[in-house]
Amino acid sequence: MKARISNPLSHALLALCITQSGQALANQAGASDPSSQAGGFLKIGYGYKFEQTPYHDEKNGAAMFLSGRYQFDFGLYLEASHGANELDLGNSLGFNFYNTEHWNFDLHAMQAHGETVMEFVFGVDDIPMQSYRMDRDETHMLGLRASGQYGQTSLQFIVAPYSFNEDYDDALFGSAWVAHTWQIKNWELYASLGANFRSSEIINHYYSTSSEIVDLGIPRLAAYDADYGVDVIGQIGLNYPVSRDLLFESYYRYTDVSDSIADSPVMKLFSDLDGRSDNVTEVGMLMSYVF
Amino acid sequence: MLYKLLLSVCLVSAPTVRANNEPLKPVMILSPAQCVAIHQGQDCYVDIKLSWQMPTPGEYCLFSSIRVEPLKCWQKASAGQLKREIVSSENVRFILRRPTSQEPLATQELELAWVYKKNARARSSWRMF
Repeated sequence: MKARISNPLSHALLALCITQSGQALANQAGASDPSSQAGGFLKIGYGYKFEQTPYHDEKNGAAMFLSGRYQFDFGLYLEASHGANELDLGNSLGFNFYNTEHWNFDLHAMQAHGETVMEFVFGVDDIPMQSYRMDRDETHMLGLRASGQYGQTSLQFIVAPYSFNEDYDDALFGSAWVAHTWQIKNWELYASLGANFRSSEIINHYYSTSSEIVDLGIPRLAAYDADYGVDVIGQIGLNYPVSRDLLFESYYRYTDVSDSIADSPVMKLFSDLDGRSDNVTEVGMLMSYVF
Repeated sequence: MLYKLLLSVCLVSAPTVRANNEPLKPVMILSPAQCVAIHQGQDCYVDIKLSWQMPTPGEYCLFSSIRVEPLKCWQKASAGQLKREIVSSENVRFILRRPTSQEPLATQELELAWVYKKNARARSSWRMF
């Protein structure tokens, strides 16, 4: 099974983010109002990454990282999240409509689940007799995001009740995060803890056993009706500014995949493969160039 | 006659010889000249080495823009050196002057830089989803 994040919209958003971030940062002097939300950054990194997950074979080697954000003066923003210190949930688009001293409120469209491809090959004595492939497009959802900042502590909440996925309408995605940073000389140590909620409609869409496979009568792939699921994610990291443009980053992230996903017959099958695991572990060390 | 001619040549050329051995103006060297923090507004930590040299020996004190009292003073000295950790969230100006005078004799500036500009979302370097 492969979980990929790629489609024309993502590429377009990423390209726009890159070009607009570069232009915006070149004109940074214009956004001198300290209360202005306009502006952004673009960060491209290269380094080492280890990743063990039920979604694909273990990765252990060189990797590219990219993240960025840009907000226009009128409130529209673009975000690309393929970086080191974040979940790989692709690109986001939104509108920042209200701000207080400590909080930002956005109308936020984001990726609630990545694209998945499941390929099953059935056979006897290593002789393949039947194959089956199940593709699921990524799910983008629309909702509200609230981001708070109190000193070195950050909070973020998302509630997204509207799905752009044509296969289902009623779905709910939510997330809650808390994070804190500590400065030790010029080093930055941070820790974050979060939870992602996905309603049963989302879980069933990606992890239920399709009728075609259930009809095969394979005991390990019986019918499965999932409940809602909550992933819990913990992350720690250490960063250091090498120069004005170069940032050393390192991180460790662990995701406890929800029981609703882990108990799925298809997920049990894939997580038993060599190089895979029930939960997600990611470690990275890289140098990033920040525009 | 030849002796007087040689003596005149020596007297005329002496100031040039003296200018090659002594500095004509104050010198101050700061290393490093920049401190980098991750976020704008954060305190930046840097171990600096500051060297100075003056044309004439005397009493000199080194001041910085982040504290009132001098960092160090020297008595009957024409050169000095300071090694110290500096912590600041803004540019720091170092000034060498006599303790009884406000006139700066030599100055250097430690420039602060940062990776992320300050805005309300600056901490989105590690987005959370």
